[in-house]
Amino acid sequence: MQYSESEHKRLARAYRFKKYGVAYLFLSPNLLFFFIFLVIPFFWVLWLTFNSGGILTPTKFVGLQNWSRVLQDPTAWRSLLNTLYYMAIAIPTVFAIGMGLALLLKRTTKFVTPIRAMIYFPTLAPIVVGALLWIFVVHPDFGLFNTMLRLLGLPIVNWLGNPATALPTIASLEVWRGSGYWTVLFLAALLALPTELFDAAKIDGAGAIRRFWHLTLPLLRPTWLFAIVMATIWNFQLFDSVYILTDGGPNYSTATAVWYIYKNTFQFDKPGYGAAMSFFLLIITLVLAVVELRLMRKKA
Amino acid sequence: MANVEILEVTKKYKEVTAVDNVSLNIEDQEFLVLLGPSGCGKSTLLKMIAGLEEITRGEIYINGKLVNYTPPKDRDVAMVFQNYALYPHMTVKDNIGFSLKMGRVHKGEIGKQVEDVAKILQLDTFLERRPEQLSGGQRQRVALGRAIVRKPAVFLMDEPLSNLDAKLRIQMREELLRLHDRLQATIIYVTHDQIEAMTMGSRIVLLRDGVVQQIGPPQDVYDHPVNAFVAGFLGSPSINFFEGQLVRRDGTWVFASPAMQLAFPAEVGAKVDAVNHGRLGESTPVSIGVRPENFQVVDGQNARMKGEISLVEFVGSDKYVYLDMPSAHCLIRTSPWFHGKKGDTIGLEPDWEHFQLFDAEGRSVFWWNPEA
Repeated sequence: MQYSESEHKRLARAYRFKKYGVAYLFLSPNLLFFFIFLVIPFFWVLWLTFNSGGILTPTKFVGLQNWSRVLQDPTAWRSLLNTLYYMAIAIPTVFAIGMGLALLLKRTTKFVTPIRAMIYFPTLAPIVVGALLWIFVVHPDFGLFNTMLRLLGLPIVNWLGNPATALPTIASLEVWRGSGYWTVLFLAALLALPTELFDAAKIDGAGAIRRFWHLTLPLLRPTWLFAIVMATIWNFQLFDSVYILTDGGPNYSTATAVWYIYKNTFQFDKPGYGAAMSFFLLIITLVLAVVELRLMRKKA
Repeated sequence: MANVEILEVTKKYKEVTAVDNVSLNIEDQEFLVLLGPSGCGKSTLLKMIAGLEEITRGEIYINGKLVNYTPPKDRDVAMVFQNYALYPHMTVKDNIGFSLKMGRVHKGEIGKQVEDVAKILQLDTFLERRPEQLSGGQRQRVALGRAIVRKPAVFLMDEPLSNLDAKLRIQMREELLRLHDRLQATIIYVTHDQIEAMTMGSRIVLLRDGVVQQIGPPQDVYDHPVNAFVAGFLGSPSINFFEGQLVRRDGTWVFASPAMQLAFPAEVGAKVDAVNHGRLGESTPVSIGVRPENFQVVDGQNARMKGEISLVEFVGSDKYVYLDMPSAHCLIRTSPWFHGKKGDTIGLEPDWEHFQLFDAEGRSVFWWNPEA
């Protein structure tokens, strides 16, 4: 060794700084926002869960009182179940439509770009615009749905006014908005699959349906994994369309978890209670996402 | 057991003609190699036989049955792909057995047949593994196994060895030949590697820009190339071409170029006269072709071909000697004991028995058959 131990350490430090320094520099703006808008609010909300008091009134430490009250609040449970019910309708539907459209688009050779743009368009529409548009679709008197029902001679439905149909109607809006996104995602994944495998399967005697079951679906597993986890996380947060279209009604039939958190925090002036519910929602989402990841991995 | 007949087949993609009016008759149990540079249409032709590409014009028969409108699975063909195309989410066992499963063969029967094939290919200890856990050579074997298990009438192989390293390629070449003997199958094999083509094919079909250049047993094509493209494509290192003119001098043919004045021996001159039919007149531009191994090194003093050594490559069994000549270059193959050095001038004499002569259009004066 011609250099001393300490000299090696100094040179190594300088070398590493050169190697990684720029990376941290580029990351720093992102990290800054991550801290301001995620890390700090996270701990602030955690602190709020142990306190009572309003936005304008002073806070008071109440221990676990907020947490235990959430567990005893039937509306909180109802909003959670509503959210799960909504997800059970919306996610499989939007995936089926997205996958179906992607499979069709993959075979399309003419007007590919305009068709893709049209399908993706609803995803770009601001939620308020989308929701207002949906009012015209589901309006009991002149909406698109009921006009069609009348044409078919069927009884009309008060889509948003009936507790049985209100939540599925909101789900249909979210499906309409979301299908473009999932179509594009699935299409990208489909186009990335090697064509040789499908050629091989054709020669091996697999028809279109069996190629889908034995090749396309299993080969898309990484995409499915991403899609299911992300859809779970996003759909748990259903709020804006409920807020705009029904505001939780009729009779809490469209009350969703985030909607109820919002109501408690900002309208009933109970930020501590809202914060505790937020944490419950976070834990449930986390558990569900981890379970999904585990299940999908095990199958692989 | 099957023969394949390709009749005036053409494939067009919009403006591009990938395969142009190809006719071929592949005998039962033949090992036919489709050879050519990339983009010559050989893979397209193979895919048309497989049914993965539609035929623009012409007919393909397998065992006497028109298959233009038969889906791939009903053509009784199996294909081995360049990238193996193994199903990544299935085990070796499931990969090999997939076609049987699609054919609704009984489960126990699938297991038995897969094991038989695995034994032939020495894959029996890897059956539960997935493709990603296998080496390149093992994957290649799985791809072969998937084809063999179906007992197809025709094997279609699309550059199956090109992703293997050199040593493994030679080993697999031998194994494929042994497999061909054992299965007594008809194999249509696509490659751009002329060594592979010559070592494996019972016949070679050389393609260029979608057009068949020459069909024949390897040595026949090597020794009697119908045009300069065929002569240049086969052989490594490749044949030397010299451009010049054919002139008549003192009753004999002489090849005249800045590099040499080469009077043909009487029997070669007679051969030229025999095939000439007035094609070659006085001062006709021609080129001659001499393979690197078809030179004799002679004394540089009064030799008719002379060159200055610019580089000597030692490759073990041989030495490749690069020569600079007046407005020409030449590569010759010598024994490893040749001791010329860079800067030396040596003389050469071509081996007239393997001497090639091409007209201005690159057609062989000796072997081009206008009727073919």
